[in-house]
Amino acid sequence: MTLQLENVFAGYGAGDVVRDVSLEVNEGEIVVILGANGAGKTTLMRAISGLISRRGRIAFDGDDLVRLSPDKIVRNGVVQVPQGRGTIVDLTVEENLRAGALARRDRSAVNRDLERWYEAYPRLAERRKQKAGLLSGGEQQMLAVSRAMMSRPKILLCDEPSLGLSPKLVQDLFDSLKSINNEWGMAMLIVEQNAAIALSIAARGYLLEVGEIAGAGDTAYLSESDAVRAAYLGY
Amino acid sequence: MRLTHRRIAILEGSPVHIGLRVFRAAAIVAVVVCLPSVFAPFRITQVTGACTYAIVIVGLNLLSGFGGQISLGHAAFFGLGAYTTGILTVDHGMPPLLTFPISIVLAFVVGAIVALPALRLRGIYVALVTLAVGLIFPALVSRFDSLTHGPAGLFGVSYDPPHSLSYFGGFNGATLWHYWLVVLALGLVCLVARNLVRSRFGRAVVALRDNESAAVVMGVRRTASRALIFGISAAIAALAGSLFAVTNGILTPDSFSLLLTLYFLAGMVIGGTATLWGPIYGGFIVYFVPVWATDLSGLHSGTNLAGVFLGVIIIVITFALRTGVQGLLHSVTGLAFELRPRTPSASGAFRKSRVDRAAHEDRAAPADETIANGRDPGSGDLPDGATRPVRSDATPRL
Repeated sequence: MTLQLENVFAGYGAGDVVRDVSLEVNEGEIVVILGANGAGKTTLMRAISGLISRRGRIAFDGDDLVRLSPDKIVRNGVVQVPQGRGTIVDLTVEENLRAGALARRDRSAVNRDLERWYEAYPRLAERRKQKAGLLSGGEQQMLAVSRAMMSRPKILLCDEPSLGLSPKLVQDLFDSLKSINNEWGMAMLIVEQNAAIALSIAARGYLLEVGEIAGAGDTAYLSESDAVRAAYLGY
Repeated sequence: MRLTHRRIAILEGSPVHIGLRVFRAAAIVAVVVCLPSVFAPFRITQVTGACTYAIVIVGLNLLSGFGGQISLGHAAFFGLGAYTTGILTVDHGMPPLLTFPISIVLAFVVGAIVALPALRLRGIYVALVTLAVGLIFPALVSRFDSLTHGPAGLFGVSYDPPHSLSYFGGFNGATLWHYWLVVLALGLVCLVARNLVRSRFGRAVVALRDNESAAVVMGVRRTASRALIFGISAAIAALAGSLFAVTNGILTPDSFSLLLTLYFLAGMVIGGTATLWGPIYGGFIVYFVPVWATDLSGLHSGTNLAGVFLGVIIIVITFALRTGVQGLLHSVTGLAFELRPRTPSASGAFRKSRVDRAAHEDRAAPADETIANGRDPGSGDLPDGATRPVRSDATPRL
């Protein structure tokens, strides 16, 4: 169940933001994409999810995602935790979680999953009947992750999950992602600016600069690389 | 609003809560049943008219309130239903009841088709497409007078009460019959709307309104959902139109002008956008404010005064009461009562339930686990151990 991008181009009409990107995420693996503002990280994520037009090949589970509509991509198990958390503010916490399972038909298993995530994040259980817009940033991020997991994905795409969270919450969040990876064998593609924390849980990483892959390697290699150190780790 | 005095707490699902709900339902039924014997026939006709408006607003609220797409063309769908029933009964002798499903299906199809170009657009442009529909409809009705009888009007639409029932046999039989038809239709439409909003499709529609790209990456089919909700909303408007045709008897193109759509939108906002009861309040308010304004000022300046009243109400709602009459009633009952949800949030009991317990599982069970309403949502559903997604020691408290 490898996600494999081959020579992917994507953009918003006038020219490509992402150019000739090839990368892969293997089964059960956490892969991070590091890049500065405007490097095309979010564009790449939106391209995989089918939210924007793209060319090239995005192979997953025997399908080419480039040919599929966004809802088919979700139904194939490629699910995104969108940047800014994508909270549906006027639905309650529980309705948000159930919305994550929109594509599923196995009602009783959905209810069991709901209890699992309440168990994992008791704060969400306490607030299950509250409008999700009233949650704190950290709680909304928990909601975003568990909502994505409610769809029983095969691979999770996380678009800058650390955005707007305090350092403590960022640490908690990445611990949580790591534990989901451990417990479920969940493959993840994480896009981040916070290189240190992302590299701490990833196996491999890619460097995205001005829309193109500028480097790749395992985390040890990336942490030592001068380009990453200077640009993202600050030493 | 932070309240310092003690409110009466009602647990969700408790006998008191169920009792209150039963009482409310009984009170509504009592009012509906007794109303015809209390009011004069002309008032019953007015209530029928208000309920007709309410039906359209229920549908409009699904599209614009829950779905976030403004429609300036709902008078056209209302008119489409009215003319479908009018033409089929008067010119083709069809029984009225048979024309209702035809107008519903027709409006659903037209609504979904109108929605398709609108889907490529956003915000104000969607409203402009529906505005075009709203403007074109009366012009088409006037133009194709061989079909619609044109500006002269289509007369004699009627739906006679079943004379076998003595209840409808009296002098006001037709008035009562119309009243019951429309009230029952309103009840039915409200039920459909309630179930729709609470369904998986309802959540998808709200998700598309609140955060479109997040909704799409959750697997919501954007085009299909938007077209479907538009079709449903138009179909409900057409049902109201069919009822309007048989209760009113006369149809003219002027009856379905853009102004009527604005009344529907005003009713939605005043009653309470994206609420379930709001459209009913809204329907009555936008129907009766012009009636009272006319009583107040005589026939000449009546409509203008109605506009003033509605305008003031809308301004007040916009600034002070974003959730309309429904929101106001909700806050008023909230002063005295407090509905505690099934999962207690205040007691703190749940906070100590599953995850902490998982950590302490092999020790003695904590004794302080009391859950106020006696149901622990976390217990008993899962076999302990292996299936847990995130181990307690690894679970962060964000």
